[in-house]
Amino acid sequence: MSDPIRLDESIDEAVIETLEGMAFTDIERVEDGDLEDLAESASWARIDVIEPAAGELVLAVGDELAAELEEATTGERGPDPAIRLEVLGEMLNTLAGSWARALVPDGTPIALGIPKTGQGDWSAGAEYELAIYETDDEDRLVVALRRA
Amino acid sequence: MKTILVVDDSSVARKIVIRCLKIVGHSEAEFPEAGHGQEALDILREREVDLVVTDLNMPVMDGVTLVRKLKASPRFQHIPVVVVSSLLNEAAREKLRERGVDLMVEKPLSPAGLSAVLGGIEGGIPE
Repeated sequence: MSDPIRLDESIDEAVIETLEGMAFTDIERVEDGDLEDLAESASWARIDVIEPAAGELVLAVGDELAAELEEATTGERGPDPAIRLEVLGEMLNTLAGSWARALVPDGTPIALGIPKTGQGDWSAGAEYELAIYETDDEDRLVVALRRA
Repeated sequence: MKTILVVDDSSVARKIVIRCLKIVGHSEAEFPEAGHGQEALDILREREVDLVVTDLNMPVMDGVTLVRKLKASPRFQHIPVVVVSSLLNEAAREKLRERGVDLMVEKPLSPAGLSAVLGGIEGGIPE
């Protein structure tokens, strides 16, 4: 039996739908990719997955993509990084909900925590499973899952 | 002029809801904002509100608790409530229906999705 929370095609659909719906941004999953540029200069959001199984989902993007997502979502690219991070938090909240809904039969309770955001090291160690995505401009977006 | 209370812990999400509401014909409305359910109740006690649009997953007081309090209050139970959330599977929808909420729309929010739900308010948004 597969894990109740996993990064299969359900996360791809959630990421693609959320990026398109909130920021009019096309994105596709890539097999692997160099994440060095995301190691330190990243903006990230993380959210606890409570149900259908415990874990943590992280969304990380580089500075340029973070700014582009802010502009596409709010209509402006402001000097305040807090707004940029709040866009990422709301984006993660939205895609995590879509993903969780798709993972389990309808009627199964799903629950998430409140998103937290930050900049810099997003600490996706070996315990994290990664899904890497790329925009048309070759900007990288990473979703990382840690099962509790 | 209509007053539409928008409740979400994310200011970005509130901005998206307000933008969608303006696109679907409520550009003249006033949009007081609350970051959680308790703040929403505080606003409702101070001013007349015609419609509440709320998220579910919020700190301090979540959307389900807010809805329960609104529907239990003789003063507020007539106010239509639209729930906007990424967590609206059938289990969540059923829980909300039991609390008297029939108007629900999934995130990511679109003007079309919001418009379809607002069309379900019998007699339109009251004033």
